[in-house]
Amino acid sequence: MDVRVPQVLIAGNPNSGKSTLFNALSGGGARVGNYPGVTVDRTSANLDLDIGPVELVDVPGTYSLTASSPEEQLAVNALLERNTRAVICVVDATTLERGLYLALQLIESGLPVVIAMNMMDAAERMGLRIDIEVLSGLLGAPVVPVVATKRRGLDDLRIQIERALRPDARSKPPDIPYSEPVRADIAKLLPAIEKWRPHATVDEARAFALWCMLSLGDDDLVGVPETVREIAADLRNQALSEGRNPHLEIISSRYDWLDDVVHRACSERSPEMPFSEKVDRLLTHPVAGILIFALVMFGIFEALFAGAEPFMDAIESLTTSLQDLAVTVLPSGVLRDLIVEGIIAGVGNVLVFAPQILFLFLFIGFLEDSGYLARVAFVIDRVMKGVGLHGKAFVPLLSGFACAVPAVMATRTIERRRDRLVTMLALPLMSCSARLPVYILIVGTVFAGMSVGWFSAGAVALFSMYVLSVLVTLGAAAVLRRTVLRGPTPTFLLEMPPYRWPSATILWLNAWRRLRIFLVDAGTIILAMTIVLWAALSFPKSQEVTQRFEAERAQIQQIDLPEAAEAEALQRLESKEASAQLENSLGGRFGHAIEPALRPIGFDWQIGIGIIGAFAAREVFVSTLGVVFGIGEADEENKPLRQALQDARHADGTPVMTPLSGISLMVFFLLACQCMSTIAVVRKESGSWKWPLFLFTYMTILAYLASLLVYQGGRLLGLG
Amino acid sequence: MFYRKIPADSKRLRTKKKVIINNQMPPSLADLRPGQTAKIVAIDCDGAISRRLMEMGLLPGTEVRLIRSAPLGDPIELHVRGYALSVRRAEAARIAIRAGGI
Repeated sequence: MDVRVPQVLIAGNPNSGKSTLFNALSGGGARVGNYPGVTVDRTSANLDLDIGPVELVDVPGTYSLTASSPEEQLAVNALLERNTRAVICVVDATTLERGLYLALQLIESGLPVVIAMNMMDAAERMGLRIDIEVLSGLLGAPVVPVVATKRRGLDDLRIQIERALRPDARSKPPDIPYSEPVRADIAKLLPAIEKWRPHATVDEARAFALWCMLSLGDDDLVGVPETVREIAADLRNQALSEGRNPHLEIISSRYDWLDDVVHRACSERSPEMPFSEKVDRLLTHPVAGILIFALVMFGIFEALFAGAEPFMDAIESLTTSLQDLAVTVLPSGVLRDLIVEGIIAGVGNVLVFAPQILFLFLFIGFLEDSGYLARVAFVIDRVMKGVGLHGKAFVPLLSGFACAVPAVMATRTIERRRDRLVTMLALPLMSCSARLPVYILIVGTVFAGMSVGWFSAGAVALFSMYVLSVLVTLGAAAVLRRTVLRGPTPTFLLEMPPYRWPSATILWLNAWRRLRIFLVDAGTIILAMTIVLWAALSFPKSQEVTQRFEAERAQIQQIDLPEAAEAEALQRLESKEASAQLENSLGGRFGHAIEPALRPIGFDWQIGIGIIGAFAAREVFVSTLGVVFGIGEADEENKPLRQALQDARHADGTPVMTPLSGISLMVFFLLACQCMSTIAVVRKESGSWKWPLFLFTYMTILAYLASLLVYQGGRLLGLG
Repeated sequence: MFYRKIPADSKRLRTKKKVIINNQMPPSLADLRPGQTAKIVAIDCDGAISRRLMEMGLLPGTEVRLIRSAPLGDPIELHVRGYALSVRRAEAARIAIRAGGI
């Protein structure tokens, strides 16, 4: 990024229409990146003004500059960047005082601030009249009425931004009547702050002192010098011993002053929110509300499962035809295999997630922008609270039934990092759709024709897996919350924004941005892992095996067979060769090597190779087994594969697949993190390799122990 | 929690119970019934939560109306300074309101 391009921040409360204004000003050509160190989107765009281009940066929505976590500190950090020249503060005119509270903090810093008074149309309908000149004068910063959704007032806003970018432009911070003790505390902090930020203006230093008094305490803020912390702590203890509450004093002084300003510059408003309250009477009704809630959630579910399926099928068949094409065009050899089974398969593995990600984010975007997502959290928080989760964790968890990859991405709607991590690390235990083919293969192999009471044994086993997955997910969340991610109880302070009709353009832009980030960041990891996995399951090639099968092939060709029979025999031979080569490969040897560990949970080396192959994606277990058993391409309904599995024997002659080992295998697949795409996306969303490695480790251990319990427990009870 | 088990038509009983409890404690936002309005007297939540509530405009003297409880009883939805805010009962119980308010 070019440091010389002046930067204009756009700040504001959540739901103030900040993103709409950002898109209206920038024309949609936004870039999304990450703030360094934390996984919060940094959205920016070029804005061409008469004085030249500036970079418009969308700061995450916030109610104040006060911070207790690095995420909340972002807004402050953005203000401190050297090339930040001005701030647009978006204020929702229908919640005037709360929006101005943030604006006031920005003005106090002395940076040029332009207040974009948004949603003026809605406010006017509530009877609000604002004397813009009086308000601007009192606040010490220009106020521009706008309606971002209708692009009204944008020209005036641009003029004010250009004025704010003049070299001599500063805000004129009003003199807030802080109490004498607060003023004394500021004076005591100033020397340390001037040492910390030697170039700060008087206003900045004062604003900083106030910020320290509000922010420092039980925080994990970065970059605050120890001297400042110590003085702030002393001042706080001093105040507490005198029975004062400095937070209350500072915040009250600001709000009292703002109430007075609003009283002088604005007319009275009718205090109701008639429309949204009426809608909510239905949408959060004990009966109707829960019914509608269930319907909406079912809608998401259906969109992810059924809606995305045709697109996913199309991508898969496109991948297959590309592979077929490459096979016919390219000369056979390692390079062809790399292209076909490494690169094309890898790109396919990435693209196949695109429909679900797009669908989920269009859906979540609609729920969020319309205001219903806050109601979802409101309705379900009581349940989520029990396991230490936030109400907003519900939609990501539910999406986990379809696929953990978009679900992990959906955790971004949860504000606090700790809450987000708990959700992200628990939801891969939800039984996703990729597990289904595995279940079906196993059920069809070991439970064919059996029944439990009125139900088929397979259906009971399948249903149990889904129930178990929900229980384990919630249990894991509760445990994570109490151990690895122990911290302050997640609070639930959630604004219930008025219902609004979302803009299709913004929904589409946001979903597309999400998808692009996934394709670029997680996609490269998935592609790389596909290639590594392909190599592990292909190399080393055994010369001996190749020669043996060459000889057999020559033998068949010598015998005078009808053409069809010869082709079939050759085909069978090829499948057998693939099986032999796979067994000889690094992955195959690894499968053999871990057999002693797999025996106690009821599996053999062949299943072991299947499990290794399934790391690409769980459903690949089925096709890997097809190769292992020398059947060639196979899906979960494949009869020869089921037969081969039923016929498989351990060295002592006992069958490998019994109902008991079948259940053990299903439990293993339910709980193990057999999915490199989940690993890749957790890496991307958590910002480090630490969490995906932790996820993989804990899920694998959990899966192994659970399978061990099932298999050994079952044997003790005389089953299987 | 007991307030969920009491049928809707016995609101009077519920209020009585609360009043008895409240002999020792000042009434809190959690004691409000839907539609009732009260003025905040003091906020006594954990440090960061108190601060957040205050910065969102819930200060001593601010008027608050309870809009409704969630279908499962918790959290509750408040109307304050022209917007709606939902908080859990655990937090609401630590926001004292003026006794005359209910």
